[in-house]
Amino acid sequence: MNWIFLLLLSLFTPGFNTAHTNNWAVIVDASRYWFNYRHVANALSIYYSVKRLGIPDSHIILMLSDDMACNPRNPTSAQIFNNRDRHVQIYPDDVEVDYRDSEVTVENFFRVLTDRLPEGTPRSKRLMSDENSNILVYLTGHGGDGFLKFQDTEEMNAMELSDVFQQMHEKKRYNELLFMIDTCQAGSMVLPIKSPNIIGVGSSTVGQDSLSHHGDHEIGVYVIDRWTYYTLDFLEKIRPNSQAKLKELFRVYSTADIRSTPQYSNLKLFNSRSIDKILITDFFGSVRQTVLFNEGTVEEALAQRTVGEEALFLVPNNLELVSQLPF
Amino acid sequence: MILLLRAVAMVTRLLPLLLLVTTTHTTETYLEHLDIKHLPGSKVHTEFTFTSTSTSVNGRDFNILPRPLVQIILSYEVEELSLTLTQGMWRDRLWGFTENTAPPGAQFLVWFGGKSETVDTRWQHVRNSISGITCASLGSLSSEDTVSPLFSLKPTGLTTTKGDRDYVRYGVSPAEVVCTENLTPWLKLLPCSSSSGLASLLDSSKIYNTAYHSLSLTVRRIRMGDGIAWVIEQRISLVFAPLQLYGRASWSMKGLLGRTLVDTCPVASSTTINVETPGEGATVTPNLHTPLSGKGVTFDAGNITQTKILNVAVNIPDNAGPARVVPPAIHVHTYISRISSSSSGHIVTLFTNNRDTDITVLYMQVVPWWLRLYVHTMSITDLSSSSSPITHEKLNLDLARDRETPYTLEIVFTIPARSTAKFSIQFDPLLLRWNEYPPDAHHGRHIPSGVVSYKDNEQVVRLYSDSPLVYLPTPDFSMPFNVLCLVSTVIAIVYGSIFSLTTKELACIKENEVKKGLLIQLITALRGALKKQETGSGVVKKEQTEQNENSEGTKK
Repeated sequence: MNWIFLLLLSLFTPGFNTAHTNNWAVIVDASRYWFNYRHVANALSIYYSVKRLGIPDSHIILMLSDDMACNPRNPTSAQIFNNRDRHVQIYPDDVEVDYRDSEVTVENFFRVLTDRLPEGTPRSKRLMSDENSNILVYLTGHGGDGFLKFQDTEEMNAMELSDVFQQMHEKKRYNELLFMIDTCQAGSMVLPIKSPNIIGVGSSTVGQDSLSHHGDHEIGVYVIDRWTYYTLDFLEKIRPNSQAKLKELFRVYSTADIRSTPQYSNLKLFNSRSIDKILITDFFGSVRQTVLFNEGTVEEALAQRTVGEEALFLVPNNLELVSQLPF
Repeated sequence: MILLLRAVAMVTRLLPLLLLVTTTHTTETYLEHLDIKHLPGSKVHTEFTFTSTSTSVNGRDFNILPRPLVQIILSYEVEELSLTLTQGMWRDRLWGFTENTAPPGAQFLVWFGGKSETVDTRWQHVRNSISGITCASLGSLSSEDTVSPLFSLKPTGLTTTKGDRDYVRYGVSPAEVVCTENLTPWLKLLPCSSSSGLASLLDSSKIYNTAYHSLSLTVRRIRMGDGIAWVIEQRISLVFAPLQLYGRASWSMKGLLGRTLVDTCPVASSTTINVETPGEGATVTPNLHTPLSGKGVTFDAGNITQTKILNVAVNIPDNAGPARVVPPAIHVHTYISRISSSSSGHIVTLFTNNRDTDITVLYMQVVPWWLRLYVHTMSITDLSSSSSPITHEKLNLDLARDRETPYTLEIVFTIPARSTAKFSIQFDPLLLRWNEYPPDAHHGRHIPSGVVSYKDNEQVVRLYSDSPLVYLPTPDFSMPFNVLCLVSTVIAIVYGSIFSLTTKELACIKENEVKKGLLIQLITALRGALKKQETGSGVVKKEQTEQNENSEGTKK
């Protein structure tokens, strides 16, 4: 009976014909220093949108190369804004930054994506995705033809990144992946990607610069980049149950507005669906298909759960206080 | 109607308290306390303390203790844990003595039980787990920053280790930033989180705008009745400057913290606020307080918030004198003295004894391996009596191994009454490998603060000195790129030339067999025309005969 129910449900529910069961997001700001405030604001804005649309903190890996909020130069203490009118504060009380300061390196980024982390790495720092995960990877920083600069000291090569994506494909670590990158000449990072089921969007083509949008006079620096600004403009209108498609987002990127031409990766490699059928919430949100079962009760289910042997607080019998000082 | 609702709310609030107090021989208590003191310079020191105690023996029936933390303690057999995250220094010369201070940055101290051979792996796991639940980058504290002190930092609670240094690990990251992402998970460890009780007063945009802020988490065991109890103490210490925030010395909770106390945590057995009165003429409002023996007043917030919203305020008149503080017995100051970033220098620590009696101190200084110390230059002198030397009573010196462990210096010596002692040691900065520098290498790197312990009226006091910033001699980071360019150019020119010379041959060919380009044909034609004008008909004949020959050739 149940399988008939499921079959009917999958046939008649619009938009739920994807194979993914969970969503992850990896959001990275690769630049350090106060004058790169806008890159931190870019990353935090995407983090804020993705949380608002339903992805929980446990499924988001946020890497920020520098601390802007508690920076002594910040006139608005512990607050970061991505707009001059300061409507939204994107560093709210429930922010969780997983990799901070000098922990954000090319090596750590690749280790997170390929899950080759040292033993004992806490869960909040691991990307525990599987073949049914849809992952959003967002990078921002300074870049050039074929590279992205990390922390002003090292570079991530476009070829290395496409190799890491291929490793992810071979290890079955994603179902579909949306790769967004907002840097100068971002297209050079997107073009070498040859792995299936990855859509790459760069904010500019090879040879073009991505520009910043506007600045805040009190903070004293640019607060948001153009391409991210228009992406957020679009995302602000999306609700968790929105049926908007990815093609509508790409249509928002007009060269006149963002003053650079976005570069897309080879969309033919995305063989499962075309972009006018992919929902925005497939990557930015975490909307799940709920199936109701009529069998059994909650009490019965809980009773069936076996309780394992839990560790005990052992109370040793040789506990004593020790002298604090050797004199 | 409102009274009825309030009554219902009160009953529902008390119900879980009745259920929690005793469950299968486990006694759990949770206390919230706020201490407010006035400091000179019109500053206000607020210290929130959240204490959870549990006598849970089997590790299963606890309700107040935070499960993530308890699981880490159980799995890795931790006996005592202390984590502090601090921004700023406690200026004891200005603000006087306070019991709980912490060094700037992140400080992590763990005492382990169990076998000493497994302590290193357990230290790595505990560091990573705690960094996961507090968003602090403790996972990157490697063996380069970890020490096992011999005399200092003994466990303050019950332990099986007898204070043996094999079981302790201490790591400091002086440059660690403390921001909202550290506060949020720290608050989540509390039973009521930030939804009610004193923790609901903490707003990140207000508490990070302070002269000093420090979060601390300590876990230890104490004796309670016949049994043993685990005590988890979370403390947040803040120094506000109302004069800078809104131009007046008078302050209120709403003004400093941005919030007022609406209700208290139902699990807390007591929620109290102590306010130290700053002097004559100052008034503390609301008038619901009871006096506290000679020190100030206290509010029973649990009672008050059942009917009112509590907003503690102190009005200080303009002619009020400066606040009185207890001057510290010992003041410590560490600094670096040298000429330039690549020259050798001295690490100097000054100890000032403000009392009329000699005080014996234990001084621990961790120095990173990249400052090579000259141990024979270590000296302690009494500056107040023409630099006469002070002999140390105990000394422990752990030498550094490059890229493995730092130096640990531990010295016990006595500072004479009303004198200043100067400890100094000479060092040479090392040039690191180019990939060992932190991302902003020109900022410099911090040396961990010194830890000074002494006894004051049978109570052990721990002080922390400054964490000086050392400029490292940095290489030219563009050198690898420059070298590659230069070498590639040289190889291209040299190799290219040799390749051309060795693989190409010079051969002779007739001139008219060579097919010439259009430009060259034009140039030769022009030249021919010029020569024709110069030499006259002879050349014309020659050309004509050549043309005849050519035309004859083609005819055939």
